[in-house]
Amino acid sequence: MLTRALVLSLTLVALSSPLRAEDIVTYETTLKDKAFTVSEIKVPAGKPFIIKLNNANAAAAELEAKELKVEKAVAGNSSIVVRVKAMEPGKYLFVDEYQEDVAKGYVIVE
Amino acid sequence: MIGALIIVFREVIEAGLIIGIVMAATQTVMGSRMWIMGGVLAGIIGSCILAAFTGSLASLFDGFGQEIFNASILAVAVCMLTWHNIWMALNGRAMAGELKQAGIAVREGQKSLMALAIIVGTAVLREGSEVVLFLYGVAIGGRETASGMALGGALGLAIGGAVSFLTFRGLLKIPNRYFFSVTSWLITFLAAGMAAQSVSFLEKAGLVEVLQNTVWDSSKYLAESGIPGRILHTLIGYSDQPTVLQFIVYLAVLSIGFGLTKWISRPRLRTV
Repeated sequence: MLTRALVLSLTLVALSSPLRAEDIVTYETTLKDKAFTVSEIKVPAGKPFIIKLNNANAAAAELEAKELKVEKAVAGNSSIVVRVKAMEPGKYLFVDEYQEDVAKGYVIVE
Repeated sequence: MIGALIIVFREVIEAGLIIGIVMAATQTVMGSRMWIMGGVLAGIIGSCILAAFTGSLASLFDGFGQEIFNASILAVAVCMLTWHNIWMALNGRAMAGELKQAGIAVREGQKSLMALAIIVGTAVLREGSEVVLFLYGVAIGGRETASGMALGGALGLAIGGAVSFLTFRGLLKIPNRYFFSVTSWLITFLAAGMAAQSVSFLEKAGLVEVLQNTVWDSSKYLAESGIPGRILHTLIGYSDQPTVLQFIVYLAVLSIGFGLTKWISRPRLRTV
């Protein structure tokens, strides 16, 4: 019961806090066939950011960036956004997991 | 083909482990198989529906509908798991020991089994929709090796199913004396891990912004994204970069789970 109360109150607190997506910079890229139109996304270090992925293919895709803790499915011909926490400078790979050998890009944090 | 196999297997393994544990934990409860199968079936049907609506779900809550949906169903599963553990602590021993109580236990047990069906259903639902999306993508074509990928996907499903079965059989080998404790520990760890994961989805949605420092970083030694990391992630809630908040929630659910089970099954004085 305690757990339930805890989880419920956590969820309620969470849902009542305002979405602050507007404070954050969004970087956009599009997956078309087997490639990302923007395959190098440059972001400043130490700041959270949002990646918006448009999937221009009919097939679904899954945006995956292990080090950025991103793993999110995107339906065909639609878009998703993912929040990434503040990162240290570095070059981080992102892929379409469903065709990860070819569909690659990098987030360059500097 | 191998790529497809790995993708599907990675999605299926989590649900597979959970189903195996739940099946073992309720071995002694009559009718549990039916409920678990029902949960799996509902999860699969739900996955197909969810896959069809992925686009619209994604656009809810400023684009974080999927995260909020995942956080919510994980929270539901945590409650159900905790409730089941308490129920087993209250009734489990009696059920295993005395046959005459079986009738009552089964009637009472339906509620607990419903909870388990929900746990299994949500586990399948969470992972299943991505498998459906992936396989659907393969089916509508546009990729040269569609048949190989379909085969890989089917194999991934089969291996995931086998993991579920092996977990179940392995757990049944535990001697009776320890069986009850081991399965309730496993369920408590599952619940704690799911609670932490639920928090991580709320964090990803940007809904929680407190206690976000990383407690440790073990990603170089045991990455959460690899298969061993993923198995540990499912079983005990392993995370290679947990935030303070995830860690606190994890410990809280763990101690509540252990505390309650211990308190309920404490030795009682009886007048003869």
